[in-house]
Amino acid sequence: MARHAEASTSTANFERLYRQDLSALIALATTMTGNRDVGADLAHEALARAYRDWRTVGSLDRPGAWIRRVVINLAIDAHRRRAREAIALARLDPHPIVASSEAVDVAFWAAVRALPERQRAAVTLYYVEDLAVAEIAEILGVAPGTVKTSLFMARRSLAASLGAEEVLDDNDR
Amino acid sequence: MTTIDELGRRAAEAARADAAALAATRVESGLDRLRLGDAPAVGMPRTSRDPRRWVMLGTAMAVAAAAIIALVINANEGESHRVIPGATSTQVTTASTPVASTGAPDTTELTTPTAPAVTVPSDAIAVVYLALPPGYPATPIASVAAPADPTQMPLVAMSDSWIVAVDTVASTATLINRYSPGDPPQQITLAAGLVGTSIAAGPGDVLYGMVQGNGTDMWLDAIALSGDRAGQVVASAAVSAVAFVEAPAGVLGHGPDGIIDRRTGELLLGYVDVDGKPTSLGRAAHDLTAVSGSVAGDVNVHDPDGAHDWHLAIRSDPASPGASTTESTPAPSSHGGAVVWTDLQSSTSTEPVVAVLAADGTGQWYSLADGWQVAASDIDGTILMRRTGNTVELARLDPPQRIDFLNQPAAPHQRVEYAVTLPTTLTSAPPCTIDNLAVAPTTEGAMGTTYGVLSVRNKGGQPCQVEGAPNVALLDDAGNVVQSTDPALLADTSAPPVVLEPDSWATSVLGPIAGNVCGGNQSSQFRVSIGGGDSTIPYEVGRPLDPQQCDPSNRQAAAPGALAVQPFAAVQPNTDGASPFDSLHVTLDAPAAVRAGDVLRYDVVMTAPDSEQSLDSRTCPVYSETLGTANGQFLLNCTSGNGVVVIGIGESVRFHVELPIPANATPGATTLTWTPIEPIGAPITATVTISTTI
Repeated sequence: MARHAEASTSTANFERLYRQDLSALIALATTMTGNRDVGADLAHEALARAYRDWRTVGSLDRPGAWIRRVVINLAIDAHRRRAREAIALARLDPHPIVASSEAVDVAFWAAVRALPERQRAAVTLYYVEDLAVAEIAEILGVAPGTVKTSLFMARRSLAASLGAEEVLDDNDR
Repeated sequence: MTTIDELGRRAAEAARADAAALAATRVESGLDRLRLGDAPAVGMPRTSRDPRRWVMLGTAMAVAAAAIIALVINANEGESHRVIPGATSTQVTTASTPVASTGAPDTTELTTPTAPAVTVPSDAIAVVYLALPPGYPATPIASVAAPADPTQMPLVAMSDSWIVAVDTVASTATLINRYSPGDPPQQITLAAGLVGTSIAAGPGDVLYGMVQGNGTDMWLDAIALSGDRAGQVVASAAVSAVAFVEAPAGVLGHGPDGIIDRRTGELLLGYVDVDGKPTSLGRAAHDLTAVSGSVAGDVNVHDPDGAHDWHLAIRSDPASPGASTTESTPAPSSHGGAVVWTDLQSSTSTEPVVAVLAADGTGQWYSLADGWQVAASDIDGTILMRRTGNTVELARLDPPQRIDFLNQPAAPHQRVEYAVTLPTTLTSAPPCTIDNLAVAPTTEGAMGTTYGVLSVRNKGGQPCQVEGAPNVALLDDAGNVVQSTDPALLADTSAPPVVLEPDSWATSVLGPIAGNVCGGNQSSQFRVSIGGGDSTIPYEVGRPLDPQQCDPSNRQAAAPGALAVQPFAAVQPNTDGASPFDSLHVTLDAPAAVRAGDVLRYDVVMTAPDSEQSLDSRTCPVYSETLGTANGQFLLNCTSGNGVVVIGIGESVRFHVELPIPANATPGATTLTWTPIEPIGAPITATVTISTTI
């Protein structure tokens, strides 16, 4: 098998990816952290890391998967800090929490953020990024079966906390 | 009823729409920010650090430490809370060991006008940016050529034989003999270009490291470090590029059967020898897992082999740009502990810190000053490195053996292990009385028979003499005589008297002692009569055998025989054993200054560079310490734990010692001298400035 590939160093490729993926990455980070400004910063930070290591990251078949993994890691770290920063954030921005103004959406993402980290990441990738189980597994670095288990557990918890019906998605991709 | 999927898709749609609107306003500015920054870099450089920051940091530490300590003491009165208040000037360090958990999380929080509060669970082994832990005194043991790229550092691993440093740009490996790091290193050209942040080495002369393939594929290669295929890949396994492109430091480790991903315990590649044939680790692997807590920086390191977890709390400045820096995967150590390291972030600096976790569940954080950073940590030890010009220095991070001060004044010749009859010009002296003799009975067994040795020391200030045989009785708990000397058994009635100068010893041999009497006749006290007086001290001999082992058919007589006794004799120096200080490297870690009237507190650091050394009751030294007019002689605290301190090859033990400084001590730079007296060792010195003010 061919190995030690020459790294792609095309800045144009990176800029294209930045323009294409920034919105999705912001959505991913915002829903995971609960703050759109933090989400935008994390999305940019992940892209900046990709830019810094672009000769390696750019050589991947799907650099976007790598960047999403970085976003998730950053978002999990940010979410862990949130308990400590909640008061300060509330003082700084009384309306910071979620993208949507719909109360039901607020409740949904709040419930998602209360899930364990792996379930939180799986659910967010599943809904926000509309990714298949295999793609989520690749990003999270776990087996597809683990993703399915995480989604199952997450749906059950969300149904309990939101009073919704727990229905397995036939389209578990 | 609405389903979860309906709720999710609706919420996601709204989130995507909002993000798209936000992204439209950020995309150009974001790209501009990147264009203004550095050009894309190759790989993931491990940056070296500027040691100059520690000069400024140290100055600020001294200023803030007093306030921190005062606040903590005040807040802790009657509480078990852990309090790290905000600082008003700059970062200061502190360290902690866990305290008993009280069940529910026990936290507290303080604030100051200029720094945010930091909350730390009371049972955590915590490190906080506001109070950095003590610096680890790294001592270079070897150095290798630095990579040509000044932003790069080598990848390092330690095996059971080598310290391996890999220059990933030059694709070379430098091998340093871990047992003799001063030997000339070997260098091997590697056929594979390693990438990533972690390598592993061993068992045997095999290096394991990541190699980038095409596309998303990455490989874990095993590379021979010796033999006909030295430098060649002898085994390989595909791994997930996504999983390892930005893996934390120390992600590769030794599992039971091969190299593992420490985050998941997944076996990546089985162990092989230099020919690529399967081999085994040859010892137990020590598996660890780490689980992040709900609060940022809380990590629980679990040792499935042990009965404990280590609760870590890592608190960077939440306002710092890199506050989300993650810790390393926990690296197991050979003695049942673990090592975790990370960068502690503040708004102005990045401070590398390392937690050395002990097998008993305790732990200690250290700051790595002067440019040091953790290079590798595995079951064969932890290596630090720092770049100094064109070289990279390497040092060992040793287990946290730091032993408390034993406030036991001691003098030469006081311990029976060093009993000796001192030279004297006197041919006679007044008889010793029991009041001016220190009595030390010991027993020695051989062939099922126990003999006693009675040693006496002149503890008075004037010479005296002992003559003839002592009158000894072994008493039971009630004071009844179990066995006693019989003057008729005196072996030698013509022995000359022994003149004892102060601190001089003489001995008398007693026996046999009834040591294996079934069902009774045990003695718990030892009475000596000399010069018309007697002294009775607790001393158990002749205890009955364990009832489970006692064979009535071999039961001795209920009344044990009388003790034979030898007259007192002089004791010659024991020259059989070499001093451990012939092999130990000793240094002093003392503060630069001490105030007159205070207690000087410092560490005596003993390192065993070539062979394992042990300090037990026989070899644990009486030492002297002097600083100007201040001086003292104490017994080192070698037997506080299991009765012996073992210093492995290349490892160090820190003995904390103290010396009160008189209030009228002469100010100025003064030489601190620490000298092992028994057994003898070379004096060790350091300079400490005595001041009259802080």
